Amino acid sequence: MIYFDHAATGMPKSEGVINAVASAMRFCGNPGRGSYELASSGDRTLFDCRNELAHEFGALPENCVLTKNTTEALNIAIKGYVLAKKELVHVLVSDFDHNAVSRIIYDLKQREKIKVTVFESDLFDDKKTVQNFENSITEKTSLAVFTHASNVCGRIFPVKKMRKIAKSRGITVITDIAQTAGILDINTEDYGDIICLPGHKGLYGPAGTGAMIISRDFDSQLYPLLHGGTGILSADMKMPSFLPERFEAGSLNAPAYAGLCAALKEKDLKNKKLTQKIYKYLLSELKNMKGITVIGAPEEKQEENWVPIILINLWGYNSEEAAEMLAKENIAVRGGLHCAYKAHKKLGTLKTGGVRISIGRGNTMVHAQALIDTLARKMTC
Amino acid sequence: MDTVIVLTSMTYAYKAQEILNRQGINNSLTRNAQTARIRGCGYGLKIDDSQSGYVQKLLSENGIKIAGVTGAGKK
Repeated sequence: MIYFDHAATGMPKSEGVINAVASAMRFCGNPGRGSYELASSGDRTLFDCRNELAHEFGALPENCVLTKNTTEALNIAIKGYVLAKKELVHVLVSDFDHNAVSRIIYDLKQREKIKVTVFESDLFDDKKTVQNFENSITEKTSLAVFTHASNVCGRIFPVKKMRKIAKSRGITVITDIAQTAGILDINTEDYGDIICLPGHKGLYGPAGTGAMIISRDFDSQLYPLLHGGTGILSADMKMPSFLPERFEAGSLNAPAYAGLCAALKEKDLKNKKLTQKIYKYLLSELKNMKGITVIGAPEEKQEENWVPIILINLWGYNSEEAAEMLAKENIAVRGGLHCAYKAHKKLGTLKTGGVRISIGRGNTMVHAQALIDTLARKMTC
Repeated sequence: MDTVIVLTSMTYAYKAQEILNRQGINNSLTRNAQTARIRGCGYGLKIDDSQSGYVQKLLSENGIKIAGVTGAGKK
């Protein structure tokens, strides 16, 4: 199988990650539930994972809340922020959000907790995106939710600049870094008051891992979405007021976080230069291939503004059919709408969907050539 | 005789332990009855009484929240 679906989850996982999970399944008890060796080993596992996350994203270990994915992190962050406020919250969101943001926003709007303004992102001009964001700010804006890079076409948005503007205007920023964590260097403070990330995509940890990381100087209290046991303060019916336990009710998946910890220590395995080379090669070939439409891709010399994701459509094929046809050729890509209605609407592919090719650590130039050859053969049939 | 410094959470307990280890201060993590009396369930760092004052100052300077102190080193 040639795997070009790294935007869904990074594959293959390393032996180091697999071994760490297996070992933790043998030697980790339930973290925070005792002083015996198995429970202590679970405690240590979670602490080590937080330490690695803190190191990777320039944060404090206690500000790294472990979640099962980006979606859970975004729910805790956005709903936690809004539900802690008594007044209606004016929120700014982009037009490239994943449903992990859009559905939360839709729900809160339906419940009349927020007022929403969507600012327009420009695919080719960051200045326009920043200007559109700034023009959308009103005196009542208190929250902005950013998508760092589109999971549909890979465009990286100027979050750092928008964060700076938001900060100067006293606006809280929550950023979805699902497609950039492990791909780009990210310091929490530069990208938001809160960043939400997966452990299993660009970081190559196990599925079912993620984190909500809160910047050092964020001082608003979030309402905890989950309530339950934390292994501490058991006589108090309120959730703890401090991090990370405030947002981590219930038993945590220590083996998975042992795997994430191992993955975070393997940064040098990522081979970013080769990934970029494959991306540029595929982009150039696909743009010139008869019967293929490339959507939302960079112009020449703009590639650094995109993560290695390419969206295409094959003439005469529905995107799901095209993905299925490639699967039969042992090539894994993803068709459809990629849980991102707004992005497809913006790109004009709502009816057709698209075939997403996402490149990652395990790919080689041989894989890229095989994909190009297969597509060329299919399109000339 | 030992003093137990009770921390607000497991994360702070491990962070505190790393700080003490770096300073070469003998300590051990505990979830004994003393910590439970202060916080219901919680984590404590067992240290020698003679170092209680210094350890509390050191941890506070490093941003570690102390929930309570039990044993002879209690102020």
